[in-house]
Amino acid sequence: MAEIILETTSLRRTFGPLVAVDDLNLTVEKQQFYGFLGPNGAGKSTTIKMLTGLLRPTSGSIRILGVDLEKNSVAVKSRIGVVPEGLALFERLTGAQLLNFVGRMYGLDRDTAATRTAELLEFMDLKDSADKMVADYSHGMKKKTALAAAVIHGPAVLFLDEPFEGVDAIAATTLKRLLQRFISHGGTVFLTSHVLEVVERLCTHIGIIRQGRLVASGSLEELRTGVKVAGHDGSPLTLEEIFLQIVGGQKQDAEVISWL
Amino acid sequence: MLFLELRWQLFRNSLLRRNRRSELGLQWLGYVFTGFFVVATSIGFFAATYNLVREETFILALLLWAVFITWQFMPVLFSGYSPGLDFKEVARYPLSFRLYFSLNAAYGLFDPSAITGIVWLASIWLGILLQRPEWAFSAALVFLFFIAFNVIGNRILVGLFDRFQSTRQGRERVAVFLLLMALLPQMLQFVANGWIDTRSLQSHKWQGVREVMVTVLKVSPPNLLSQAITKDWAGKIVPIAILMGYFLVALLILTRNLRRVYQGEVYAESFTVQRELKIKPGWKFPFLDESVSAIVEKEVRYMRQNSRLLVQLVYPVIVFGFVAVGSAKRVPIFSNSGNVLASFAGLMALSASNLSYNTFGMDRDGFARWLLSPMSLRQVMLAKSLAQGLIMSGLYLVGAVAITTLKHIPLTAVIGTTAGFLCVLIVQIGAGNVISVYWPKKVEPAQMSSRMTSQAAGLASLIVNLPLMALIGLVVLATWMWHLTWLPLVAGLVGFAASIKLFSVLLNWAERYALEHLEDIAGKLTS
Repeated sequence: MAEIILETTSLRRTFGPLVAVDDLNLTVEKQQFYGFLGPNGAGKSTTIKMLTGLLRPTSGSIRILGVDLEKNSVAVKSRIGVVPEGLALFERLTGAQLLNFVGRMYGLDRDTAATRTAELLEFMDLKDSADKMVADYSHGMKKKTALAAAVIHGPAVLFLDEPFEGVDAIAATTLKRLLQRFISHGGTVFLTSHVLEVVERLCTHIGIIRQGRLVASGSLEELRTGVKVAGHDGSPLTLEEIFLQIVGGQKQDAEVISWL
Repeated sequence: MLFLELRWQLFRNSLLRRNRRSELGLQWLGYVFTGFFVVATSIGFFAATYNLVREETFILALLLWAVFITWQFMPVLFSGYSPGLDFKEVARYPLSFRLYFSLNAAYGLFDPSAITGIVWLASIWLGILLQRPEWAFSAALVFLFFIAFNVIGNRILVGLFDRFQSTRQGRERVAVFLLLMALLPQMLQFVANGWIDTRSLQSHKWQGVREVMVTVLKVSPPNLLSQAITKDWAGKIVPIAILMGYFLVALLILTRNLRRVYQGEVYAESFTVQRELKIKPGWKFPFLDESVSAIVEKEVRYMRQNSRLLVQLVYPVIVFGFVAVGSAKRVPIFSNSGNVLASFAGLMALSASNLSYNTFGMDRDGFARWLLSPMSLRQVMLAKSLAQGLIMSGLYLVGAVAITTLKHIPLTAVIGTTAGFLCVLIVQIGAGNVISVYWPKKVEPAQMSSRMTSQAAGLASLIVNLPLMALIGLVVLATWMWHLTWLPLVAGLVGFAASIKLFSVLLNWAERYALEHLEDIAGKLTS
């Protein structure tokens, strides 16, 4: 049986009367590329924030790499890498200074941090902008920097919140290359994304959340087996078709604005 | 009307923004004060004109200078404080250039400083009407012209300002420039009080500069306006011709600038040619582990790369240098050399609040990075405190060495004062950690309106500093009354030990509170 990397039990988070995440039971195994999908406001970002220690769950538990996040968060944080929603970059450092700093903050010695910084800047095509302040980077460059910062210490698991949002095709290709390389070297990825084509191409497993509850989870094949679309021609369902069927957000023509 | 409504809506929305409600009271107090200021100064303008214009016609030029400077520079100086409309965005709407130009000018006419200027002009005109009715007609025409000229001139300045503001570096340079401009009146106050010696400026070597300034003043718009009002019809021709020239040039510049914006000119960030990539290993501090060293390095780099903060840190030192070294005899407290060092130490310890009272303010989105890192918040705040302590101690050391060398201060006084400085500094930084998590505030280095700390933190500083001042006052009083020369040294050393303990207590308190309010803190630092 494959090693379980991430496990949540009855995870719940409320904001006053609003239940953002409810009774969430997730299991992600080693070397899985897990795509966590859901419509806007479904609870994706809240979930990933709880999984990475940015937000405390109201109830339930989270175990990452066999360690309870609540009880030993420092041990967990040293073995995960995160690209959070707002990227959490210190924008008044240069790209090189930032990566160097993050590497050392995770305990790398000065020389290793410097070597890895140079390698990552090269890989991410950020070499020419290494001496520029992150504040002056484009959005795509910031995303690449955030991903470089997430992997510099060699984590076992990566948590990525919308990594492909707002990045151009070239930057997206670089990010995908890095993630595939990470998986092939034994890593595990948990990502949220709105770009279903990317998730379909990259992810081995998918979870769909709606109104705070996990409504589907499994490999793409498992999801295809479980979903039936009326009037479909029999060809394999795309992730978009599965998603819309499960989430049920597709508007009929009659609902579309009449004057447009 | 639509634009007036929009301006009012922007103003109202600025009051309803998150984190602003708590500051509303102070803000409204500010508006009331401004209202009183405008009314009081208008009475002053009227009174000055009414009483002096008959004998001293130069008073007109002086008052018009006040109107001119206020109108032209106040909107730029306070641009970050009032809600603004970006005319680059307005150009996207289907408007003709003529309408776009008119809207831009009209928008300038409803600026608070423009309204103030118009009220002042009306007050001056009333004074003229009552004292020199024969000038009233020409004054009315000249003032209408002056209003149009000011609107156009101000829109040019605002446009230039926007252009500088289009890059991060430009924004920050402008903020530093404006900060220096805002500090200038303080410097002038020191000159006026005779604390800074300006006698050297009256020497012959400055003669040329003075002559150039007099010529510039003669052809300045306020002086020409004054002549256009007070001279006879023949004498009005030259000043009016020059003024018309100014107006046409200003009009052309504004038209050209606005047309470029209207046609879609984008003020892009510039890119510089990069050097070969060389990554230097980070800094290593003795006795500190890799992670803490990295945080101290990051904090020092952040301060070093923030010119506005640097100005705020260095400015008190410079002013102190001028006052203490340049004019010691005129300031009684500085007649005793020990007092000079003690005053400097006090000033530096109090200045630490600029750094420590909003320790996460500059991190903004980066705050989440601390939460993701495999370090406790206590360690992070401790490392930040170390960096702040190092910076302030470094500044103190430079000043203290200079003062001690120049003033020949006894060693016991130096040790006592330094211990006292460290004691207050440590308490300031410790309290700063608590204040930083209770009242975090996102800092925008490129905005003049963005203070380094929240207003609440400013008030909290009183709670921290008043007991400290009282304690120090008691020590000074006891030393002076009973001639206990050893007391400052002993009090400094005891205080130093106590402050370390207090710092630790405050650090634990700050961490506990922060962990319970993470989302609130992160929200205030990012919104």
